[in-house]
Amino acid sequence: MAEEEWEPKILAFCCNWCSYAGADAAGMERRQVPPTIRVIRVMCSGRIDPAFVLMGLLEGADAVLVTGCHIGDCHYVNANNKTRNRYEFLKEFVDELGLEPDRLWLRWISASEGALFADMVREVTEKIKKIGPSPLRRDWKK
Amino acid sequence: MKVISSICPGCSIGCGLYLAESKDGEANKMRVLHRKNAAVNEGKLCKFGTQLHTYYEREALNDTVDGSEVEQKEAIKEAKGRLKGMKPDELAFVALPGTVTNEEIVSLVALASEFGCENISFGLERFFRGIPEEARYIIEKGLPFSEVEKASRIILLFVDPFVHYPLLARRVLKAKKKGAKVVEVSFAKNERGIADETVLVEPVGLERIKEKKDLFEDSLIIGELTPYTDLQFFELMLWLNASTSSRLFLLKPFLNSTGAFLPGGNSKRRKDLFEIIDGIERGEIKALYLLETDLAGAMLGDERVTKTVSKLDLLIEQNAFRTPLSSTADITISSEPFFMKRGTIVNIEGRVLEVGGQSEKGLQITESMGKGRTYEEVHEEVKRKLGLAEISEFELAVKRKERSFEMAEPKVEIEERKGGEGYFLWYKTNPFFWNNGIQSKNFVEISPAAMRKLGLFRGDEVVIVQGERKGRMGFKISELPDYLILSESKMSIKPFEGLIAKVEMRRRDCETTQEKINC
Amino acid sequence: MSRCYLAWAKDERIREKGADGGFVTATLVSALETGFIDIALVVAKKSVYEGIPVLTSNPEVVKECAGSLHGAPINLTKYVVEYAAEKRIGLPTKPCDARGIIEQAKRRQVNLDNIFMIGLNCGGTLHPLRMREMAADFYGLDPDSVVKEEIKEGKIFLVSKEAGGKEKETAIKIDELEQKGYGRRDACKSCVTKIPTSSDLACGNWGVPKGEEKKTFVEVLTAKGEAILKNAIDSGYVCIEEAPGEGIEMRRKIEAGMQKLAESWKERIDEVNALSRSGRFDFYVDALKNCIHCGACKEVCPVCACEKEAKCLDMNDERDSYAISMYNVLRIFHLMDSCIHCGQCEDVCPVDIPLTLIQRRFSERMQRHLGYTPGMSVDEKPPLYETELRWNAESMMK
Repeated sequence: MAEEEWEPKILAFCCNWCSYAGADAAGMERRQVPPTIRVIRVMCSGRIDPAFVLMGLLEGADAVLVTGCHIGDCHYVNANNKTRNRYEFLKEFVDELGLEPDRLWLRWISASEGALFADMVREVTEKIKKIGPSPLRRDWKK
Repeated sequence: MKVISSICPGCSIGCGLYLAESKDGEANKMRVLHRKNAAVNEGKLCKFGTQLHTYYEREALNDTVDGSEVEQKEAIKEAKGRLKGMKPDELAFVALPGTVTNEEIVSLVALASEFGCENISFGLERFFRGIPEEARYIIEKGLPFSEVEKASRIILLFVDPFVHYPLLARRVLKAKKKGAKVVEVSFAKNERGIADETVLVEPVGLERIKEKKDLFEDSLIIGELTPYTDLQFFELMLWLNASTSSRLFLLKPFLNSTGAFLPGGNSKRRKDLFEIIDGIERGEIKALYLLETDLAGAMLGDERVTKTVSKLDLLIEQNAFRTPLSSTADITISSEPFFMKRGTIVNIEGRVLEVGGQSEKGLQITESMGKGRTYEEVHEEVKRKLGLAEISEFELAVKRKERSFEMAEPKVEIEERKGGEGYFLWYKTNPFFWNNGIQSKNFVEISPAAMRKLGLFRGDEVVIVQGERKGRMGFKISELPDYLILSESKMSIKPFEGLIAKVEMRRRDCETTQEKINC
Repeated sequence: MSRCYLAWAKDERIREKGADGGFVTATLVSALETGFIDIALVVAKKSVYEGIPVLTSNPEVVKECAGSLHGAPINLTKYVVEYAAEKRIGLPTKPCDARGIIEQAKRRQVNLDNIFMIGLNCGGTLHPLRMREMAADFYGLDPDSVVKEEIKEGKIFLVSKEAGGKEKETAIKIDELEQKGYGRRDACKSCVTKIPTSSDLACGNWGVPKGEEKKTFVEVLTAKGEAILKNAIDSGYVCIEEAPGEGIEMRRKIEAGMQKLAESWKERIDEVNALSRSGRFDFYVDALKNCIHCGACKEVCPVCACEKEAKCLDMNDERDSYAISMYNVLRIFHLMDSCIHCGQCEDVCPVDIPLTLIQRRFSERMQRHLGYTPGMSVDEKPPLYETELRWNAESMMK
């Protein structure tokens, strides 16, 4: 594929109660969101096993976004604290493995923050376009 | 917690390990532990080795005569009587030496000669036919792994060490670290990229290897010899060895393959496994004695074996575990599982290893029918034949001397591979393959092109068809030639020589309603 | 709580056979004979190169197993879990055994109240086959003639039986051997836990004053340790005296010296350190692609408590063509907070993946980040399972 044609593939895990609705809101407000993102809805960011994120990276996602409710706003008391804890592990892992730190993101986005969601996707897409495709991605020759 | 030291019967490498009682204290349940002092493998084990307990947890064989359970003595007496009633030429003995000790081999050979019978097979006899006398050592003896590590140039001839003989892989890697160049000649590129250079060959184009003869100069050629190795290809290996300054190291699937040829005596007059099966088919051989051999299991989806065996007047099976043929056997005699045996084996490196057990049951079965010697007597004979005073795993007791020999350039044109559409299925053998107890994988490897052509998605299954035979498998994509399918598991697909088969492949469609809904 | 003593076995035979006064053997024997413990886990010496763990309630067997065995790098953790999780058990523990057992206790696989860990100061172990090569190449001995080995004063002593039945002692500096790639295992070279502070007692010859050989320096670390020591003294198996001040100081100095050496080994062994980010990535992919998924590293891992129902096994599908398999990724990830760097995984890896180095690189930076050292205290839960961040949450929010 030629360089300019390349579009990143970004995997986003969105919490049902906040960031998924936030993504919805971005759409309702007719905000421009780059088509690079693939959303997986989860009931809570605390449900996101680090293994999911790692599998996403191994499958060839150029970046993985973990999004959830702001700390203190979790629908299930404090599960997003776990998310934050796990993110620290993932961050260290991704860095040590030799992937760029920008391939992993954690953002708190509430249901009303459609603008924030759209901005985030734009920001991630731009950054990933700069650093290029993930080295974990395998392209099979035709 | 009882811990015993043992040897893995998975392949001819003979890795050392410990077997310990599992925590439940249940009989027949055990745990595999690593024996770091093992000279062969430093305690490292492949998947087969780490799962060895499942191999030993199979259903045990009973002593039976014509289907009804009897005392062992009775079964042995009956077996001896019935064998005596046969003419020497109508008898045959088969022992694929996976779990057979040197002592048992010597005993079996003696037993056969008591009956005046020459029809004994240890699985690889046909390769001795028509080759120069000086080349026999290549079949009989392997090389120490330290030679692999020291080699400056290694040719992997249709051997993927990670799959075929996993404990060989680290030796090749070590050689590579020391600067050795690794060249592979194969149908497909090694997915782990162990080779610096790859020569891809098509199943119909084995002739092409001859043009690449120069590659083999000054190298250590690592190949494999199984009952299924193609004869023409075997001759090609010998020719490559004979016409270049190289050494040929052939690994074998059965633990005591080396021992079977050495203390077992002259193997020249012996019958080959396939010759015996043909003999049974023609009605020339009427009685078969199977020593620790799962014939149906080793014969790869070849239902001919079961059909052929039913033609026998007498089938005697001596084994620790039940095999698919046990129910049809006239007499079954139970021996002890391998780890309990007292005895020795010779691994592919030439180390004489003690199995580690204390039981002489298996040996005494053949001895009580034959000469009636004690273990010590047979063991002394083994030591004498191997030229050994003492047994140490750190000693390379059986050494081989490289000899040069002349070979005519062989023709490698395998007619049955030619023509027709479809795919080639290549069985990549491994310890799971020959030891019927456990299976390792439930998928085949296919090329990305085949995946696209068949419209396969993740989780789909393929059906591999060969006439009436069908095999259903998951799939994995690898960088393969488009026409190639690799399988590490046995299927009901029958290979022709060289472990290659011509097959069709299609996507497995949903068969039941529920599956259709899920689709 | 910690108090230091010099101790030795009263029984002259045990004192002679055991290392440094036979204190450990005598303590286990007394605990078995008085019924203080049900069972002892010791390593039976088959040769200087081979030891087999033995679970026994027979004091005579324990006496047989006296003496050091550096050529058998076994971790006893999984044996405790598998065979003696329900029993009151006593065992000698190297630092990595003790840390493994503590980690298993955190994961509720064993009840620490029933386990009496008699810690052994540990300078490191040797791989038996490397030791054989070493005996032949450097000591000029027939490996099979070696009957005893010892590590002291920075040297490895090999005692061999000569032709006339005479014993000969040869010593070579560890440093000299290790410069040439022999000596201790990589994991041991770079291990900084030299005194098993997480066991109940810590025993060894460091801090035993000159001229007082055949005595063991014992530090009492827990109430359990005090109890088993008291039991040994009361039943008349062990004598103790207060450790002299200069002994305590000496021991501290030896430990600090070895830790410093270990830190420098870490640097020397770490070939990844010099690599760039993408070089690091290639290194990991290249090393881990050789994996044949035998599962041995997980099986022997003293920290892993998942047995058959493990995420790394469940989520690993061999049909995937990932650059690194889920099995390896998840094992590394799950050990980031908990790896105790014992090196058992590398010992059993059939394709020689440098797992000690890989696990160390991933886990050490995480453990430093968390300010957490696994295997030290059963009260510190593995941070990955915690809800709250281990470090100060407030400072993170800013």
